[in-house]
Amino acid sequence: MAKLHSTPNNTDFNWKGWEKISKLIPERGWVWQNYRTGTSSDKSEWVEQQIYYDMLYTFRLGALSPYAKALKEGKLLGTKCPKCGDVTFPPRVNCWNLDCKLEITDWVEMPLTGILHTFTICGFAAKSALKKLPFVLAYVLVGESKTAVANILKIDQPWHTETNMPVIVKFAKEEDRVGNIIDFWFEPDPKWTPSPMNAEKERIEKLCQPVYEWVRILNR
Amino acid sequence: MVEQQQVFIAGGTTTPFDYPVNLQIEELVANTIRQLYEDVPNFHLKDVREDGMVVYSHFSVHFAHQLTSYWILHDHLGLVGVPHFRIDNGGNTGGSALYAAYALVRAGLANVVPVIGYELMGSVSQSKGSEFIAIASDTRYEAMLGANYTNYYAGLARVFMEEYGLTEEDFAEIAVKNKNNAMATGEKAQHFRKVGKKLTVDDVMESRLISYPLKKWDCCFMSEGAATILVCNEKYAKQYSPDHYVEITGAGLSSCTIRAGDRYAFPGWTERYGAGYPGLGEFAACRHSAEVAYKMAGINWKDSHKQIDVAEVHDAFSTSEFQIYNALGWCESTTPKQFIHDKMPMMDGEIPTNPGGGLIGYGHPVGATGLMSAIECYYQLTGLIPREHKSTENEVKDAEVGLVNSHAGTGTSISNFILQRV
Repeated sequence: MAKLHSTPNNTDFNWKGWEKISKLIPERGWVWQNYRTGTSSDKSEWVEQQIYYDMLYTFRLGALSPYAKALKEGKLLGTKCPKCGDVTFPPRVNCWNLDCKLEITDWVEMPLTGILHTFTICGFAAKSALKKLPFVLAYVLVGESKTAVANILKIDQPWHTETNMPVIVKFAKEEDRVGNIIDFWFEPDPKWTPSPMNAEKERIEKLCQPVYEWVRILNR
Repeated sequence: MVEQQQVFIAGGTTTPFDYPVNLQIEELVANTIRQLYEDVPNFHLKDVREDGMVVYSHFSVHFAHQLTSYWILHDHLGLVGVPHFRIDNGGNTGGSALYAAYALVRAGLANVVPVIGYELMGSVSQSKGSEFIAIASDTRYEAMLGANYTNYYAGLARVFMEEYGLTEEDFAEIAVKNKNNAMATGEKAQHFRKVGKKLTVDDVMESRLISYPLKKWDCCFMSEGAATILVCNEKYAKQYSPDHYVEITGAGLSSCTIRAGDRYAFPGWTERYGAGYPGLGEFAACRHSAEVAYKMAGINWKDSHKQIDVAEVHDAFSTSEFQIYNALGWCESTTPKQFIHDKMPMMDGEIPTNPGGGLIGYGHPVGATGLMSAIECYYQLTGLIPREHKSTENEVKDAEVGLVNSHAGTGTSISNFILQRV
């Protein structure tokens, strides 16, 4: 029977290494914080307990590792099935076609161009991204990929974003790349010019104004 | 050898969906069971002990600051020894738990199965809560971008809008319908309790941008609450609620990709429905699970909006409710634009949808949500709306056939049920 995957002895992974990481990024665990009491509008009394809990995730990318390493080198690696020929980015290390019986796919370098399939102008987002608002989240078909990938479209005037616009992939500076999706983003193809303002674009521009104002206050 | 049997709903109740956080989950759930004891006098947990199982419906252990929190509940309810398990299937947790109970009774493995759903989302800050939900997206590719589910949904809505020539106002009509229906639902509905007034399309249009085309009032909010629904065989249905039971005549469950971008040309769908479907704008898992449920219940795809009298669907966003209409086949003999123009889903339309208020009006404590939808539909089909809402304003008179829809991810798991008045 063919060996499905290699089984290293994990000699390069030891809990001492983990200890070192824990010193740099301390985990405090399940830590008591605070106690409060009060009375509700129905006169019932309440007791509140506040507990802080944090965690550091450490995980390896396994078969996806070439994708992450390529990001560090400023390349996008997708996959291509040797049986059916389907190309996907993000990569799928086993083919998605049931007829291909989870065939192991080949790595292929993707062109750094794509077509924007759909988008939204974010006026609110996760905590880590609030100061970037308003930003465009775009679903883009990179090269010949049969799947679209979500990422940020950097565009000066978000309301000019259009479906089917050509986009290019831009990478962060080499020293800033971390081997994660945040290493790259999309920008309009320099050869592309937006169509003139229309009712929807004007509406989006108007909706964005309070967001700019709010982010200015956040940044103070 | 156990035999297949028909499956019924004999009762159900929810807590208010902005329940104060000063209650623990066992109190919330005990309150729903105590309410069931009042509403369904012949019901007894002893029957569950002798002849049943319990399915718990709970989405996120992050919100519960406790793994396997349903163990606490089961113990608290005095049900030690009774088989139990928990279903988590994202936003479709409630629907999937109902599906599990349906399957258990259908297969004859249990005869009475309370499905108990709950979620306390106020134990963390709102932004942390959104982040918890966002880690149901593929964290390696999506969550790191700083986007959350609202942003993903908005992207799906934008391509749907363009495809069918819809406007923000078309979506706002749906948001207003659900908010205002919730005003008639009364004190259990989050919008009634927290906002307490009817809204207009202008209110929606003027509310702050969340993610174009979604504004604040197009979205459901973080909620807290519990719901219990009583699934059983015919014997128990007649014993518990001789005048108020419905049959589950159709049940479908389907799935789609975790990353919405991957459904642009997914082989499984293109083989079934042809190239280009579902793309990013359609909910293929909704269509597929509806087809299964319709077939079981004898409903024609093209006439489904005429054969179904009332529907409770998963409107996490006004836009997704619209996408659901399309995926349920209701726009088959018209266009989505015309469907909303003709006010089909409104209270006096062809197929009143979310008369109870839906997620936008009633609330969305994830594990309890799909059960709430099923319970509201059950009330409509059994004439219990006046008792439950203390109003007939959002009652669909003489409704015989109802649809319940529960929905997860960006359309990643979707269930549909057909309920029939007996």
